[in-house]
Amino acid sequence: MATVDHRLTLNPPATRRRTARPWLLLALSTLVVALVVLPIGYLALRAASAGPEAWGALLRPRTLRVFTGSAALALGTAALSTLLALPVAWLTVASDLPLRRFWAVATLLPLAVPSYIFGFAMVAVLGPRGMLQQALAPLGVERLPSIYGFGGALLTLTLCSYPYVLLTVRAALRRCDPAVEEAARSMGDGPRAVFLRVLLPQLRPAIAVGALLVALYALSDFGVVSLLQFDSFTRAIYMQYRGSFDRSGAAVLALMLVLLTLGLLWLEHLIRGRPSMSRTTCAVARPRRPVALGPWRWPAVLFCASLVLLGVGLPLFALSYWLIRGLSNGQALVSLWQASANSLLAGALAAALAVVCALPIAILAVRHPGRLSQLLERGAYLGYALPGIVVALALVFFGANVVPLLYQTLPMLLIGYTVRFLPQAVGSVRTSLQLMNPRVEEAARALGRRPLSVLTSVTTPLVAPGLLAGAALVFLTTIKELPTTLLLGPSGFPTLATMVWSATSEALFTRAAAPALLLMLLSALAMALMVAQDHAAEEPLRYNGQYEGTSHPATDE
Amino acid sequence: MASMKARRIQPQMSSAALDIQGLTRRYGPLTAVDSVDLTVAAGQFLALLGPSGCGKTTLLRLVAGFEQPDAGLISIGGRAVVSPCGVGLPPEERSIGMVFQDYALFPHLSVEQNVAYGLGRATGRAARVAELLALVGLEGLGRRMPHALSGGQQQRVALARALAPRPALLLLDEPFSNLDAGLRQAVRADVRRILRHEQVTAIFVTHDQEEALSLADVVAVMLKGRIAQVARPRELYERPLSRDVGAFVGAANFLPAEADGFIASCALGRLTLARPARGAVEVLVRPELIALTPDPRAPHQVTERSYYGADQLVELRLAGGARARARVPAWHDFAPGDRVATAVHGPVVAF
Repeated sequence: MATVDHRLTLNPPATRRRTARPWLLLALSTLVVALVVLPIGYLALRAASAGPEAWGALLRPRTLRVFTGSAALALGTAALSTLLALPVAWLTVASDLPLRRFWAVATLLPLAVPSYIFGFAMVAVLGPRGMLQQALAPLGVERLPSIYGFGGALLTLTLCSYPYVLLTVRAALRRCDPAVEEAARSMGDGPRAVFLRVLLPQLRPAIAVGALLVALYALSDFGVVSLLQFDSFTRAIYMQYRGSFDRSGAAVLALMLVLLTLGLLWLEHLIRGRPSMSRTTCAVARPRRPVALGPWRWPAVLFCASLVLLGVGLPLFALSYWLIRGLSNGQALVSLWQASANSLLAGALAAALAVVCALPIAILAVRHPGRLSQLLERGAYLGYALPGIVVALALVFFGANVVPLLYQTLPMLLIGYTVRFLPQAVGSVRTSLQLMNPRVEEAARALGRRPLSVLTSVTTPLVAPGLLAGAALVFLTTIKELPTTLLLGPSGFPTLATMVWSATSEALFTRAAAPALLLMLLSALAMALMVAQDHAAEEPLRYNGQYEGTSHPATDE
Repeated sequence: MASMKARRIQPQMSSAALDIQGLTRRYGPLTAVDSVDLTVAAGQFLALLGPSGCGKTTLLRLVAGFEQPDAGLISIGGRAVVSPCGVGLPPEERSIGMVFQDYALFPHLSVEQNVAYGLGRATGRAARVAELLALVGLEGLGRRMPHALSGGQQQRVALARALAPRPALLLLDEPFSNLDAGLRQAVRADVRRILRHEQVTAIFVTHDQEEALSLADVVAVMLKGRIAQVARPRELYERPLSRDVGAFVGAANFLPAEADGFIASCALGRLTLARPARGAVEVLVRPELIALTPDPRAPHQVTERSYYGADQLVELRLAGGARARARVPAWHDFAPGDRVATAVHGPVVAF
């Protein structure tokens, strides 16, 4: 007859409820995470066996400069990207911005520009003796403010990577129930207060995930920092690796980079809100009504336009210039067919593999939160944190020593891509899952479906936007990816990226222009597909919404 | 104790649709469900009534299999779904239907597809869907998407969906709480008719006493994680087993009294007891059992009166200072200061 304090007998939150242990999910997630952690284990091993000389290098002032510079670049890029992406996301989802659909697509286009092409375009347009300076020379302009160093790298990386925040925030914004905002309005909050007090807190997980992706991108990027000559970790590691016989110095530096990443993960953990943000208000949300911008619509258009002009117009302009120059010099277009086919194949397979690997981890993290699932999720993020060159290097050694059968094969390359880009898929799937009502899954269980059947018939269609967003992200990054492709690709497997790279590194800009343009085109195509899918998913809802309240049913019969 | 009550109601019930014994669920230091015994006979409609936080939803989720108990047995339709060693069947193997408080319709499926979801590839699937849509009054709305339905319509889709696979036991979690009051009356009656038609055994969770009393065949009152009483609505209301149950189910006057067998003396006079008692007790007198007559020489005085149209609620200061409320027909206008004589109809209970 234990008496219970009546006030305490509240139902605990759904996420805390105990269910049977999800052994299958745990096993699958562990398998995937083991694959990711393997190269890091190798890295640690190399660093541990490094001599005192390599460790001594850590204490040099240059190393400290590299450390602070990298951290500042990563945080700065994440902050600037969020500042750019947040208004764009809101404008393209919730407002009556003119040509809203166009801007929704156009602002994502920088995703189709590989960072090394972007860096090249920045130098070609804004650098000394660049196109802008040459155009201004008749006016007596001798030199422009330098594009090299922190400022240039920050600007370039932001323009490359803000769409990651845009994607996650936009997906979350679409799934936010407008009724919640209406409720806040009814309680006397103005539009501004609603945005700050209601919308922003709901978007917080998406913002955190997006900003984290951007920060990690900035940390691991090699193309931009090397072309714009900013001494961040990746550049320092590459120099060390190339410049000495003993590769453990590079391993030590890379290990520091891992530590920096862990710091970022911890930061993300701090800002992420409550673990479960499931919709609690009503079963099914209505489509949102756009907010009228009034006199602000033209400044808003100007903002979007200048972003698109910088993010897409600038590289396109630079590449076209070089292509036309090459063609007018009588340079024949190199055959691109084989390289394109290889890029497409590798990208599509890697996207599929990454999403399949991400599902168990994301489901575990959202539906069965706990120490273990959190650990697994964090583990999955580790591969993304490492610069591609380090992951590739580790996999090269691992492949050569442990599974020589896989060494320099397509599967090995795909594993390399998955290890690197898994978090993109996990992040998208996780965000969608968080916004899904878990009762809907329980309803399916109560109707006699087994967990696997619930996964395919209910969970997957409902998180399909997230799965697609994740797959598209992985596909795009994979096609653009350079270091892993260079080191792990089978011999005689040229891709667009390696073609661009070899031409650029030989300063044959006219030869790099054609495959680079094709790369941008292919990536843009994939993105158009993704956007179309997105709208197709919304369309039936909007259609039915028009008949809401009318008694006449089934007008589409 | 509670299960004995239930069995007394259906003494010869050989196959109970639901049988729960010693069911316990703890969350850390607090016990949400505390050794609950409960039996529901086939075809019965049972209301699980309790204040918010009493553990009734947890009990429902334990039966459904969304929660695992720390101790206890559950069997549905004579089949154990939680074995003595604590291993439970997953929800999909329990042959239950569940209607969720927020309905949890599949937002990506049409009304028809929602209802058909649990039917698998069974033959006669389309016919069953059509039959249910007709039964819940949604003929012709099958192609709509859930968000294009009103709250009441969504509720009926949820009901049709849960009933479609002919579950052995239907569980409804606060099914009417998301509906507005006017709609609620109509939907309640509809749900009762639909459940009768399908002859399904059902449990619904509610914190609304009127809802429980008017809708259910049997009401189980749950307080602080324990089943306090299981009884038919009338017995529950007129003969609550404890003071807590009496206070929770309906309005109540508690008056100090001196009992001797079937008679209790209190400020309202000598009252007949439904159960014998002895010594100093408290009697529960429902407000509508008290009849009032204007009488200038009477010892009781009206202090307040609220008029409701059909009836009125009169607050009294009784001789000796105790307070009581009476709900009486509105044909006589009482006003504060009036002297009234009282009479109590029917037996009362003492604690």
